Amino acid sequence: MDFVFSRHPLENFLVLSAALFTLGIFTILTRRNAVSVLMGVELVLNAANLNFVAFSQYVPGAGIHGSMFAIFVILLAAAEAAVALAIIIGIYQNFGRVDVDQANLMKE
Amino acid sequence: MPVSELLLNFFFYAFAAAALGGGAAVALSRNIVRSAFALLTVLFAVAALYAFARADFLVAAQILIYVGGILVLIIFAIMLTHKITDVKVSNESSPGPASIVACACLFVLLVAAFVYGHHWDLAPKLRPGVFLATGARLDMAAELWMTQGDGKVGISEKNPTVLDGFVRLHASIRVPATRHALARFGVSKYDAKEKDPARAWKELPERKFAYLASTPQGGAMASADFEKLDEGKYRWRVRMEDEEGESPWVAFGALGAGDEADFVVEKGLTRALGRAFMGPYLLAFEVVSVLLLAALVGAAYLARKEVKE
Repeated sequence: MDFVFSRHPLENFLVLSAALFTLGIFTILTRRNAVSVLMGVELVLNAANLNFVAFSQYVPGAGIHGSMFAIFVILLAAAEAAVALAIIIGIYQNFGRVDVDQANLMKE
Repeated sequence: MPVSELLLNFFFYAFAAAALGGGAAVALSRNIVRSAFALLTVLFAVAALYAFARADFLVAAQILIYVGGILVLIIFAIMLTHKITDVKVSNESSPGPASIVACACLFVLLVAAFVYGHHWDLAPKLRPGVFLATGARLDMAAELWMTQGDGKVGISEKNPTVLDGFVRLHASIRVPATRHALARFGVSKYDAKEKDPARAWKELPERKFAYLASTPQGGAMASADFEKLDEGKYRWRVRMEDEEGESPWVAFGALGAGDEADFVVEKGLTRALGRAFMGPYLLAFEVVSVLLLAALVGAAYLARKEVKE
């Protein structure tokens, strides 16, 4: 089995999104800055979106539902980023730092 | 491999490499601003990859929302959570061996599951002498596969281009290398109201002939044009007969989302997505609207300055 894109487009998309997903998980696991953790989450969401779109395109009969899901994921990512960044700024105002290891108090 | 296919592969791998390189920079860069701009690369590359999957609307949405919205928010947050006077914008990470091993295992597992574990059944169920046409999307007619008798005889109809008013079918047909075949494309229209299933398929006058020159590998190409068959919707099937007239290969297809709207001549995703938003996804659409409003209010509430009494 060869892995040329034009012959096996779905597999190529899947492997690529697996790599992006892993990089995202790695970012989430190792970063201490909360903004960086959020960037890892965005990577994970993009990897999932790639899968949705690829399945939507390359699996016969899948219709547009995969693309629909990808749009909803993008919208939820927008909402999540807005709220998470507001929380991060709140943490910064209270603790003076955005280290996820040390932000372990609900309030000062 | 023709030049267009070479270019397709080249650009896919170029964008994939950009996405992976950007992702690696997001994960490993010591500078958080660099990470943010690497994320920009990833988002643009993923948008380009959506284009490879022909999701045109998503390309625009990705760039507008992710690049224009989320990334700007992230950069704002970076600037707001670091003192401007900091020369070194730190971005600590603690990649211990456990996380590296866990991520490596995750990647290997995912790839094994995707590539080796499950073979996605991209072809519909095969029956001898019959190939089914199914469409991945409304605007693209079909991926056709066929098996015939003994060995596997694949007919793949890759992306028959739908031009305005014309249906162009490209069939790439595998025939034994020793044989030559005359493909006779005929199109039948399906009358759903007909009770007798044998009479439901009405042959249409459009008929095209295409000579299949078989290659040493046994592949052959044929294409035929049909004028527009009917307004908007129809089921269709294509008959192909080889030179000896034996084993007519019949393709019939129910394309698209519903049973009744089988073959809608459309280009691009946008119209189909718009219809889906106002149709089956209306409730989800409204819920997401409310969610976005709630997120807006919540973010504004969280980020406000406390008023000290």
